[in-house]
Amino acid sequence: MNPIALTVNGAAVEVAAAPATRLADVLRDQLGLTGTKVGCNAGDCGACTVLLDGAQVCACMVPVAQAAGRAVTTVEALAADGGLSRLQAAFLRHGAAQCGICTPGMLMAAHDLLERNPSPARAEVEDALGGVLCRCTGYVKIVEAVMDAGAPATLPDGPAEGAAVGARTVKADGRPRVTGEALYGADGIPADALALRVVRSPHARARFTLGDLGPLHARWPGLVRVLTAADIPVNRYGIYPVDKDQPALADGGIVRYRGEAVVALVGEPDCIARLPDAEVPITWEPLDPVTFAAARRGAAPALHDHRPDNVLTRGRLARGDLAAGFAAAAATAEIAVETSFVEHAYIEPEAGYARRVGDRIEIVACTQSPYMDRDEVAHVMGMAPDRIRIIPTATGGGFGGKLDLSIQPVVAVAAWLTGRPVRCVYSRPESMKATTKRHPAAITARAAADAAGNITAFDFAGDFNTGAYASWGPTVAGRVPVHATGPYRVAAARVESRAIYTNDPPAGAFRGFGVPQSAIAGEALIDMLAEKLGIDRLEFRHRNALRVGDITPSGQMLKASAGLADCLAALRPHWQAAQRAVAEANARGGRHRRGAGIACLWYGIGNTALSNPSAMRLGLRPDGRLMLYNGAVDIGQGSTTIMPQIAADALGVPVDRIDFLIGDTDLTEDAGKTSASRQTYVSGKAAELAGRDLRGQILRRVNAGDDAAIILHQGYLVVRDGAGEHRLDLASLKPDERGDVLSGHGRFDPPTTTLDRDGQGEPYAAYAFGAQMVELSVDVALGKVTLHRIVAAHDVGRAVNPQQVEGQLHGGIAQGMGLALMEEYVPGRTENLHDYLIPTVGDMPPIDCILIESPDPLGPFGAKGVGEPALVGIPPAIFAAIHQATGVRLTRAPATPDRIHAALVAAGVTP
Amino acid sequence: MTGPRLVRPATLDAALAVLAEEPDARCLAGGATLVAMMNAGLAEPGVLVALDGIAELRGITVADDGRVRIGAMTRHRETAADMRLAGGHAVVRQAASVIANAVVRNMGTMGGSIAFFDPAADYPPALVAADAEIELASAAATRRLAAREFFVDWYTTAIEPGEMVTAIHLPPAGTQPSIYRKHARTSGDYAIASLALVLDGAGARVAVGACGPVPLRSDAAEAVLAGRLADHDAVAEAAALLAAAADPVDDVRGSADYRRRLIPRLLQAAISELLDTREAA
Repeated sequence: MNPIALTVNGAAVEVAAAPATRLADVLRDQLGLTGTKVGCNAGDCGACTVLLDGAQVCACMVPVAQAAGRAVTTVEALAADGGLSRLQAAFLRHGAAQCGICTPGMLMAAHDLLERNPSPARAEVEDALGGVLCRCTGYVKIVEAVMDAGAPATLPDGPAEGAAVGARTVKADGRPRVTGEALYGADGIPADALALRVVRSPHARARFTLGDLGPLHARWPGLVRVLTAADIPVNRYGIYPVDKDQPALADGGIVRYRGEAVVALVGEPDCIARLPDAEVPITWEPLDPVTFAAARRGAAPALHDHRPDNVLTRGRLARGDLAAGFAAAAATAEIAVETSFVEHAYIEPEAGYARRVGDRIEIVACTQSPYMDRDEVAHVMGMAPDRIRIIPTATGGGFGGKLDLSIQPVVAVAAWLTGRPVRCVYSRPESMKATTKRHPAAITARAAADAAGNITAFDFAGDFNTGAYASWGPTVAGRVPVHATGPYRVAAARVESRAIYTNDPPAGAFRGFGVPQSAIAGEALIDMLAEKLGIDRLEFRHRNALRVGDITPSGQMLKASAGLADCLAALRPHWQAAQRAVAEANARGGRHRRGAGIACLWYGIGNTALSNPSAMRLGLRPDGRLMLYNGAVDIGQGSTTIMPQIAADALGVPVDRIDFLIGDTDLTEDAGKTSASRQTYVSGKAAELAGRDLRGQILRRVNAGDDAAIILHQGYLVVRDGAGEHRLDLASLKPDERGDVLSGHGRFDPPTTTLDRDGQGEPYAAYAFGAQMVELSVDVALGKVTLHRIVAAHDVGRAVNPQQVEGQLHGGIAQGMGLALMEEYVPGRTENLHDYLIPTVGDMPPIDCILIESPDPLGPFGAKGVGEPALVGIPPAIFAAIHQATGVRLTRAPATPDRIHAALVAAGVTP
Repeated sequence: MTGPRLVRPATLDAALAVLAEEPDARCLAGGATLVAMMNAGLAEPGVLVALDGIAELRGITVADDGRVRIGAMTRHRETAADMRLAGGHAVVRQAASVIANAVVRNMGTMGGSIAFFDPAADYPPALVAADAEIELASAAATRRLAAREFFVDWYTTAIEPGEMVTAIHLPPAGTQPSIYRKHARTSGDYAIASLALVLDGAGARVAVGACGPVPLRSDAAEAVLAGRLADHDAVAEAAALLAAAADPVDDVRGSADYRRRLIPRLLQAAISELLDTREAA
């Protein structure tokens, strides 16, 4: 093939590539410019956006020959000489990058605009960024950053010692995210790696037989190995220690969902890319799939022998006299709600590689749970956990979807058997088909209140479609009963939940574990009771809000940090203004009807009634710098930034003295998984304890008082207290095996109790609280919703980094909007990002965040968690606002235009 | 991976010669659809004829008599920004401005879009309502076809083997306004339903998108509207005729029933918006 000459980042290059090779692949694979990401390979996500002759294009859709003689600009060219451009600095100042996978595309789209228009209006920014999807930020801080890109390329100074907690410090791992240097799962793969591609079931339920593989090998000499179930040493994995039910490759001649892994093709990359699935000799016998409806009725064949009724697990809570609660009621309400599968839609599909190192296996991949990955891969390999090393790459979003194993077991087996590094990079459709989803729910619920407006009874039954394999189904079934009533004083409650097997994709962990689905039903009941009693919806919530000293429906006394009433009080002026705006707008009539909705939420931090410890180590190097051994992976939410903030204040030094190692299971300690909104609270506490431990060791060495100041210098430190100054020469101390001369250790496991058969106990050590409100209009002629504004007030205990808290809220709110209005994964129909929609920059309304700090006595400096709470209230608030606007209460999520329209027609609102 | 051969001719004649010689050649316009399909394994052309080097396929020219020629390789962004597309031609500019998002508008071209012909795309109803003609060329001949005849069926056009779209011609338009309105799930999505409306004398030309295999135009409905645009009953009658003629499907964007019900609302809204515009002017 003839070399193709083009200009890349100002330099003339010649590449030897087939002419239709996509520009994205040439940039990444041949020129090593992995700052350009590939998120969908279809022009839907914009992660690969580069400039071609100065105009933004998707590099995944440009054959390289079309770029011949033209100028390509990638993220790597934005800054000269290792500095930052104004735009990149603005991204860091504003916290515009979270996971960072969309950041290069966003930067290039913005750069295109700013070159033509240095002072764009907000609408122009939104238009320019419209082709780049972000799943973390809700786009709010990205737009702010682009609008501030005219300011000098400077970053704020770091906070002084003792002032890190509460400071808007710049993201500690932000710089490589805006320069394109951060390496994600697909970015650092060794050149000699074999490729692995999984062949997946096209059927939801089928029998299959695998034919003779000999002819396939003969036709495809580059095919090194075809892995089947027989190659997997222990072919069952799962989140929980018992009833592990998911095979790494389908066995027993049966597949249980469309997208299930059947065989894995391992070979030279070119061969694996070209070998069509259809040539693999698999004979299918499709069977009628078990649907959610049939499985709920108990009228379906069993998916798994150990669950003949297809009920994976049940959850339950019972407290008080339910019958008396309903008998005493002045108002009762009931509702039935259904929700859909929701896809995590992180912009980075699963990717990474494994290699065999002696008698060990190393896996380098994106993940949100390195230690769980280690233990699960060890289980599948039939090896001791210390023979597996997990090295997390930068992770381009997770939201629960990268807690479960994906590529890991098959690349581990392939690397072990072939002795070669083996990579696997999921395509977008594969990521959507194969991996877990949010559980669809079918909920019926009723509630009652007395004439004074006190909630007297709450009765809830929720079935959750857990799909073909258990994954996190038990977690959902267990978390829902604790949270189902919402954060209210309820005299009597009964909650029953079931996780039910079907031939749908496995439903797993997704930001909220069933609580968002439940809140759609629960908050609707609260509204209905308030309306029947003639009490304002906010005031009804304020009256019933759980406060310090109250007993929760699980029988737990809230001893501190229950700031819900404060959240509602903070919303009150916004709510009252919104109600006035609704009245004024609707008095004008017309087809655009306005409404406002409000919802409260609470969220138990960490695992439900289960131990979930974290450990952290803070080492002092001989040169006077500190090393935080941080096993908590940052999937964008910011733990890499806040752990040093916490440790620095605990130790009493400036945060910029702390370096960090993240997630490597050989080098860090187990900080558990990035899930359940637990890292700030649990791992943050461990970081605080590690800092305090190290401080104590230093002070004891020089016999200094507790109030002493520690001043770090190159090679020594000085401790200053009332008695004077003590110098400690670090070079004189013997380093440990990590090279640290002193080492602080912290471990924290939140105190919880098990729950009894009525779900009574203390399942969490801390709860986050919040109240969120939405203002919107409904075009009743078309069924179309336009969001005007969202206000979110959250009790976070203490905002360790307020900018990151806001970022979590913005992103969670965007995901809540998606759940409420547009997102529905349908196997076989919405397996890409143009049929499956997530919010784009143009969909976002203005968002105001109000942070309430009601300190938690155990949390680090009072902090709790915020990741999942951020989205819980948005779907019910949107449904409530649609109800106020139209008088119609929707009961099916997502409320797409056609569903809203059908409901309006059925109710006679629209002819 | 070798993949298809790619040629990048400098002239239209050279491109047409390749199409004539290579039965499995496909034109590569902006790539926004074809390359995505190739990436997904849904298209496997043997030869790609990249059209981006052919100057005569680029740009918009407006003749003295008001006729407009839009080269097939004109990007959506250029069309969306060309304010000479005014009055009865504004419908085409408006359609270009709401296609997908900025990056797709940078890449995609009018010729590529209509040659692929997704019935939920924005140009087809706009061009049908604008009474556009599609210019097709092969090595042997050049012909023009009314847009109504160009769009044949789902993803099917009148392009013959060896032919390509070279230009889109718009007849002279008066100063009367036109409008394109798209109803979509979210900004950037394809239409659930869309409507293009061009005022014409005392009546209007109407085309509905995403409600059947081809853009829906109804001579009967337009006859009802003639002279009676401000008459609610006439608009309702025309809308009912259009809705009855529609042949929508259920898909992820909306049900067939919903789409049929949308047509009258989109028509009423578009007419009242245009009449307001005309009054203001």
